[in-house]
Amino acid sequence: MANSSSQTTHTQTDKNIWGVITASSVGTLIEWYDFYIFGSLAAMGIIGKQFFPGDNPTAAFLSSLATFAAGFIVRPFGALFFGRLGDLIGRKYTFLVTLLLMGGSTFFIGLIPSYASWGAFAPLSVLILRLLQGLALGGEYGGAATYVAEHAASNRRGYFTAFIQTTATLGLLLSIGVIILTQLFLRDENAINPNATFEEWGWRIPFLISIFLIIVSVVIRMKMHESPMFKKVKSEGKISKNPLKESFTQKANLKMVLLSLFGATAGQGVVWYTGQYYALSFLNKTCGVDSAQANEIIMIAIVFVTPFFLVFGALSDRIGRKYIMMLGLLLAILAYRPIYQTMYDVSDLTKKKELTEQTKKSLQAELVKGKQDSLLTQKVNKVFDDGTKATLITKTTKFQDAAKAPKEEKSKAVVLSGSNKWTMVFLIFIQIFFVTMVYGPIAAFLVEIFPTKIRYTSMSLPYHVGNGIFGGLTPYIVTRIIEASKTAENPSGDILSGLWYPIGIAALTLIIGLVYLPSRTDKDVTD
Amino acid sequence: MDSIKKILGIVWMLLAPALIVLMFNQFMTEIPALEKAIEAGKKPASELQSTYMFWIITITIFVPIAGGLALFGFYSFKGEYTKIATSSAEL
Repeated sequence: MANSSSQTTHTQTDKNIWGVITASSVGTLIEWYDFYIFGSLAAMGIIGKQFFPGDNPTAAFLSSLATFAAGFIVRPFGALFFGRLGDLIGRKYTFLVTLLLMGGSTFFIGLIPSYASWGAFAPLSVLILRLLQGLALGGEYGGAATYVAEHAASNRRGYFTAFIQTTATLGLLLSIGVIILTQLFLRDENAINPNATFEEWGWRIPFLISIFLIIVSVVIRMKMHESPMFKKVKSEGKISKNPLKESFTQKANLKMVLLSLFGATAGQGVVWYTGQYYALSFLNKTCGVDSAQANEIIMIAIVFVTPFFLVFGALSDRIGRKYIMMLGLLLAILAYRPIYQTMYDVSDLTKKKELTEQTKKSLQAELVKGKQDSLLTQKVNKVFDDGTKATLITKTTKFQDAAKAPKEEKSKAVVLSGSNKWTMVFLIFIQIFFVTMVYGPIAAFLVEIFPTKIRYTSMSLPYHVGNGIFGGLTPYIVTRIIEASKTAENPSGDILSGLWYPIGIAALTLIIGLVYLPSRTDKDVTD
Repeated sequence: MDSIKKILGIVWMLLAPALIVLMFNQFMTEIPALEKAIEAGKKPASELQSTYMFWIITITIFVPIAGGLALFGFYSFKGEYTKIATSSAEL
């Protein structure tokens, strides 16, 4: 009888935790989706073309990355603001607000007119909405991770919170998937640029459909109950009066915030964003891989590697969080340069033999819209002996004002053959595998290191400084380091030089983590 | 391990100002070089704006973080991380 009663309770608890995980994960996944659409489109150069002056594509790309980075920079402020709210009024209502803020901002980005028609208001509006997205995300993650962890059994906390950890990667996957589907739907193979329609207005669709996803998520979250630990702390009158003050002015808490940042989240952040974000930018911009294929490669790798978040989350319940995370950092430090060199070599056309008899050239002349300048587009399709195909496009703008020198813009789109494509998938898979090691157990790690009454605030800040600033700025800083390495003698610069940034930060975290972090798992998080 | 933490504490305290100096030095070197390149017509003028933007963002964000690293080093040097708290009561 006792057994039957215990079994019933266990089943009810299991049912309850899966409901909690679903409600939390769906909302968090959608927030990540919203946040990453912008990043994916920025990495493809579309945000730069739409919202920034087009006289210099590199400057436009860097400006779009800066706006992309702004969303990350404000994440810690969102963590402080919403974290405080979460510790004062509860987890449930706080992350309901963050969800609405994120959905609204994303939807409105999809409505902003381009720089060509709205001038400086366009990038300014994008920047403001991007900042709101960052604030919302800053408040979301800590709440979701705390909410799940506070419902989970102590011996399965790593496993259950790992579901929240999959949402960032799945959000990225969803954003790329929606972009690919929209591109395919609008693609015109007969046009000089098959993605022209997508680049002109089709990119708005992924932003606009976010509103439907948010409605679904809000409906699910409205049915959730408040965290039992928060309710207990509240009923006992132990709610922190000022969680911000307690978190950051009390030395004991501040010490743990600093340790979590430098010993865990900073390195974890750069590994996450190098493996999943910079990799996409590198494939697309540096290797010249066709944007649709680059997205496809990332998607396949993500699908295969995502279960490892759960594997490492569950493993951390058995052997502790620390050494899994540290091993992930070590492997990333050792492997990044060889991986990126191989990625470059795989797509390097100079190392392939061109089948010249299959080369096709076409030329098209047209007037630039609304101007008397003429645009000459030369398209060369090449085929190589390993099956790789490349399209080289040279656009020359001849200005009506004859004194102005013609402007030349070159681009290439490489479509890798089967074996090369799978090599690339494997190289991305390895990088995201490192991500699963460092990121899978980290929610449980952060939850266990801080007490309930200031948990939302305290864990959110190191997480978002580590991920939002150290991690989120990775593509921006890496691109900038490569730009700085360009000289007259070497106009392409050192394409691997930027990797010293993630390697350096990961090494700092590895040393601090190994020396200072405890390897225990905290069974009791009700304090 | 405690003595390693103390020594590393000094390393972090020295590393933090070194990073700040490195950032300012890079900024002060890069801008004049870029201005010269723009004057010579080797680089577009818009690059100056994006370079300023990059350094303003980087310095504004990473100086306080470097301050945090120095504070972490100070706590480490003072032996604050000798024992890591295992419950709220120990915090």
